[in-house]
Amino acid sequence: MSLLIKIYLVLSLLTLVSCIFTFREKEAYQKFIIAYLVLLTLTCIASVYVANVMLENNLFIFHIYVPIEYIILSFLYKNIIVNAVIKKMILLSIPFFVALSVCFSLFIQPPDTNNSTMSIIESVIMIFLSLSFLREILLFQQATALHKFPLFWINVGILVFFTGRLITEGMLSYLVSHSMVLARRIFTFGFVFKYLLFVLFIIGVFCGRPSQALLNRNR
Amino acid sequence: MIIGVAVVLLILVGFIVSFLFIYKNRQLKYQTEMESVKEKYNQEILKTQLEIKEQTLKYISEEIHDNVGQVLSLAVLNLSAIELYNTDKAAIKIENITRLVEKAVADLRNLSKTLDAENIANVGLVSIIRFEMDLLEKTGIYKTSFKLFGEEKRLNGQKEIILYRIIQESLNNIIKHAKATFIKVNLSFSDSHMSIEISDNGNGFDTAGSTEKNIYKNGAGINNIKKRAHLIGGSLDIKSVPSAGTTISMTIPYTQ
Repeated sequence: MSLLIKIYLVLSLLTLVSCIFTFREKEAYQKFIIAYLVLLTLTCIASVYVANVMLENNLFIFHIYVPIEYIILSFLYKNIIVNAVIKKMILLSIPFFVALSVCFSLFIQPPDTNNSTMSIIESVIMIFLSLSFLREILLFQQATALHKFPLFWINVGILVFFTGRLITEGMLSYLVSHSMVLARRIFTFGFVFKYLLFVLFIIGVFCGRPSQALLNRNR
Repeated sequence: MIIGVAVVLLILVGFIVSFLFIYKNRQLKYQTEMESVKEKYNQEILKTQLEIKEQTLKYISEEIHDNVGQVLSLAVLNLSAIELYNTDKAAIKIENITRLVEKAVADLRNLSKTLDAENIANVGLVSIIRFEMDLLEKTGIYKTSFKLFGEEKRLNGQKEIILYRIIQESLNNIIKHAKATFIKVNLSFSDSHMSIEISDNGNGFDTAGSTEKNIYKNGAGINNIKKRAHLIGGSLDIKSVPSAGTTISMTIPYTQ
């Protein structure tokens, strides 16, 4: 297991444990964050196990991981976004994305190849949702002290993570067939965005209690 | 690689700082706007309360001049004309004086019941509207009708003050301009809102053609009434046809 993956695993476990012990109110969005972190951790462990212990191609794991990740994050945004139209769009997109993911895995990018297309589609959607949420924070003045609003940091983490994934996935598929050296560099660089996701999640978890407005809304 | 990481971190920190800065600015702007709206609202409430007090004092001074003052003057006149040597005539005069003084006392007692803004909180809007309608009926110029539909629900104190002022202004406008002989007020309470309808059989006016300033020269006018109705989250509709009277309808939700 490379150092990068070890750091990734440590950070994901640290973030998961922090969330479980700090999210006392057990609001709906907190459950989705914890579920997402569990998914990230399990995916990492599974992919490392398959690659290093079973010595098999572990790319099929990401064909399962991407739709599940989309479902969890969609429900998270459906819970925190106020706009009724976007909420409805999110709900309608879930089965559509899962079906599309299955079709791509079966016919376009088989399970033994990198599912870059679905990753890119997911990244675009998640960037749109995170920017929508940031817009709502600005419009509705949801927190008196924004730097103490956990969802702000969590949302920025998701935005950074998926922006990084969009960049790296977009370039990786091309570079793998043209320059493995550059592809490895890009792959390594992609870990920066993953680490930033966990760092921003940890900041969000510890920055303060959720604003009263959000607590009232979720009730 | 390190440069790449540094650039990413720099962009991220820049983004977060910019966003926090923009958020703070918007928050300050929003708070300033809210304070300004609150200030305007408080000023409007104060203005309304002052107008009600002014109206009350004006009414009291008119009553004292027209009724109580006249009655007591008559009593003094009778007193000065008493013929003490003629006991029978004196007894009749004393009886008249007694009746006059009793009437003055009754008028003063009625005056003391004249309600001002503070009393609305104690007696409620229905009682105060009934009182206003009774005062109009007593003038002998107007026939009045007041109907209540549903069970009375008390509104927020400030809303009731503004509502009372709107009704008072509407009635004042009827007295000053409409040349009406019949005034009807219907008040209905439903589950979600309250409706008030004030109608008269007076001159009416052309709501489309005339300017509001021409119609109500006292400075309050329709604009003021509409502004106050809007301030308490209500809606106002004025229907009027020349020579066929005017109807003012208001709907006010219980929660704004």
